[in-house]
Amino acid sequence: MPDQAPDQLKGKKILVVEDELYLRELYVEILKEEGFDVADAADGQKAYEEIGKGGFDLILLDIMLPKMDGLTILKMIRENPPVNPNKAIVMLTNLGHDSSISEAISLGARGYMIKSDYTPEELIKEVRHYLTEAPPTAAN
Amino acid sequence: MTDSTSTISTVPSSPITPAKNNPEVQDQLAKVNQEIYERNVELAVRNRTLDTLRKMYEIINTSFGIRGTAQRLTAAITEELKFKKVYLALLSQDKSQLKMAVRHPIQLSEEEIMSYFKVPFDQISIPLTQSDNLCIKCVMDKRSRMTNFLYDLLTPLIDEKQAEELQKKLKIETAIIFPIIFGKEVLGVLIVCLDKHIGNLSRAEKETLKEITEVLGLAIRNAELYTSLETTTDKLKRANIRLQELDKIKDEFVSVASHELRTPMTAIKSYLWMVLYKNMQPLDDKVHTYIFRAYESTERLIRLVQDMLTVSRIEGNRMELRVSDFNLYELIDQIVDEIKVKAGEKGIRLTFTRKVKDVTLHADRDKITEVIMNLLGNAVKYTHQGGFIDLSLTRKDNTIEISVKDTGTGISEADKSKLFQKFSRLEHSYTKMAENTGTGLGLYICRQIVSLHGGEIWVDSEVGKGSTFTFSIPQETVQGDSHAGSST
Repeated sequence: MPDQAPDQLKGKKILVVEDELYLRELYVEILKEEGFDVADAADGQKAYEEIGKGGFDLILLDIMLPKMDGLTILKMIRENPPVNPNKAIVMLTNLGHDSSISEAISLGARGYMIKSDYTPEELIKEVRHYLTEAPPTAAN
Repeated sequence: MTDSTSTISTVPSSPITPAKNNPEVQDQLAKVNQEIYERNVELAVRNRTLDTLRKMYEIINTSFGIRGTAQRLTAAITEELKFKKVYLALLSQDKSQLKMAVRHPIQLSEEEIMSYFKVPFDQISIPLTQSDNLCIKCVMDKRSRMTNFLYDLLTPLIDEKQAEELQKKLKIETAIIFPIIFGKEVLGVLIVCLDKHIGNLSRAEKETLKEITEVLGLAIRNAELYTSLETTTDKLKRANIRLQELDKIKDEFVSVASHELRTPMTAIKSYLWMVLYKNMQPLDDKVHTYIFRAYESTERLIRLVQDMLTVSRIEGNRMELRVSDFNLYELIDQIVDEIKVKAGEKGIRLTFTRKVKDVTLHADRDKITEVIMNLLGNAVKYTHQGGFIDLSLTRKDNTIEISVKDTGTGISEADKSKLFQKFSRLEHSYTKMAENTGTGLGLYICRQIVSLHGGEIWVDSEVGKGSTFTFSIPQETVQGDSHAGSST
C-alpha cells in the first residue's frame, strides 16, 4: 500500500457501487489514496445512471442493492450498452459462493470479490490486477 | 326346496319323463331322475359360483380402492349369477351406521333417489340402533335374512307406501341380505334382489352366496388396507414435501442471515485493519494487541458464518460443483505461497513434493482450494515451532492423492473418528494448541467437498509424531500426464 510510484494506473476511473455507508466510504477513501479517480453510487438506480455515462476503467458492483439489484443492472446494460463503454465490471459482494455470482459472470462480469474475504490492502491489490489485466472482451 | 326356487342357475334340462308301466319302478325312477336333476342344478350352480369367484379374484387383483373394487365386484356378482339387482352397504368407520356403497345395475337416477331419501345414493345410511331394520339385524347377529318387502330393509328411511312404490318401480320380488364378514368383524351387508317371489334358497345357492360374501369381505378389507396405506403414503409424501420446503426456507434464511451478518463484520474487520496498518501514529503495544485480537476474532466470526452457510447447503443437498479444467500445480503453488508466510512466522518449513507430472484437474477449483487451504491451515496450527509440513501429490491406481504431512501434535485414536464430524470437540492436547481459532466445521466441509467429487479423505496419525491428511480425486475428473516425475 505504500505508493508504488511511478504509477501508470493513477487517475484510472473507478466506480464503487455499495449501499453500506461505512463500506462505501472506506472503499472510496482507500482507492482515492491510491490515486484513482473514484465515483460512487449507493443504490441501483444511481449506479445504472453512472454506468450509463460510461468511461469507467473498473466498476465494483454490489449484487444486493436498493431500488435495482446488481444482476438487473448487468442485464440492462447488456441489452442497452452505453455509447461510451466501460472497461470492466467486477462484482463486489458478500453473498458468498452463490448462484448469483455465476449468473453475474454469465451476464458479463469479469470476476467477483467476496468483501468479507478481503482486507483493504488485498482489495487494492485485486483492483490493480483488474486494471492491469487486458480485457478479454469488453464487459459492455 | 323345489326347482321353482332355483334362482342362481339356469336350469340345465327338465326332468326325464318317467316310464309308464311299473308304478313302483316309475316312482323309483322319478325319484332318481329328480335326484339327478337336482344334483345337476346344484352342479350348475357350483360351476357358476366357481366362475364368479374366479372373476372376483381377478377383480381383487387388478383394482384398488374400496369404491372401485366394490363396484366391480357387485357388477360381477349381479351379471354372473343373473340377479335382478345387487346392493352393497358398508359400516361407517365409526361403526355407528350402515351406509349404501354401490349398486348394480343403476336403475334410478340420483334425482329419483333424492325424491325418496332426500340424499344421494351413497349418503343413504341407517343407524345401527335401528334394530327393526333387517339389514341392521343381519349386521348384529351375522345371519342372513330374506324378505318380500323392501320396506323391511328401508325402514325408517321411507314409509311403507313409498317402499311399496319403489319396490314396484325396481321390479323386485325378493331380497336376500347377507352379512359380509372378515374374521369376526362385520364389514357390511350384501343385498341380493330377485324379480321372482321365492320362499327359500337351495343349499347350493346358500353356499354360493356364503362363499361370495366371504370373498367380498376379504376384498373389502384388502381395499380398506390399501386405501389406508395409500392415505398414509400420501401423508408421508406431503410431510416430506413440507420438510423439503422448510429446509429450503431454512437455507434461504441462513443465506440471507449470513449475508446480513457479514456486511457489518466486513466493516468492523476493515476498520480494525485500518487502525492496525494504516494508522499514522504507531500504536501502544497493548492497544495493538487488543485491536489485533479484535481483528482476528472478527475474521474467525466471518469464517464461521461462511462455514455455517456451507454446511446448510451441504445438508440441504444444495452444494453444487462448478467444475472447470485447471492446473493443479499452479493452484497448489499459489496456496503454498500464501500459507508459507503464516508457516514462516511460526518457524515451520513448508514444502511441496511433486511425484506426478503436471496435472490438469477437472473439478470445482474454489472448493478444492478450500480443502487444501483447510488441511494446510490445520497443519500450521498444530505443528510446533521448528516443525515441518510437506504437501505431496501422487497418483494411485485411478486417482490423484493429495497429502498434507506434518510433524505436529498428532491425533489420538479416540479423536480420529470425531475429526470429520460437525463441531467435533477433541480431547487431548490437540485442542489446546488450537484454542479459539477453528470453527469446528472445516474438516466436515472438506469431507463433503471431497465426497461430492467422488473422492475420499482420511488421516494417518500418531500422537507426538504428527499427522498425514490425504484426500483423493478420482480419475474420471482428472485429466493429465500420468508419467511420474519429481521436483520440489
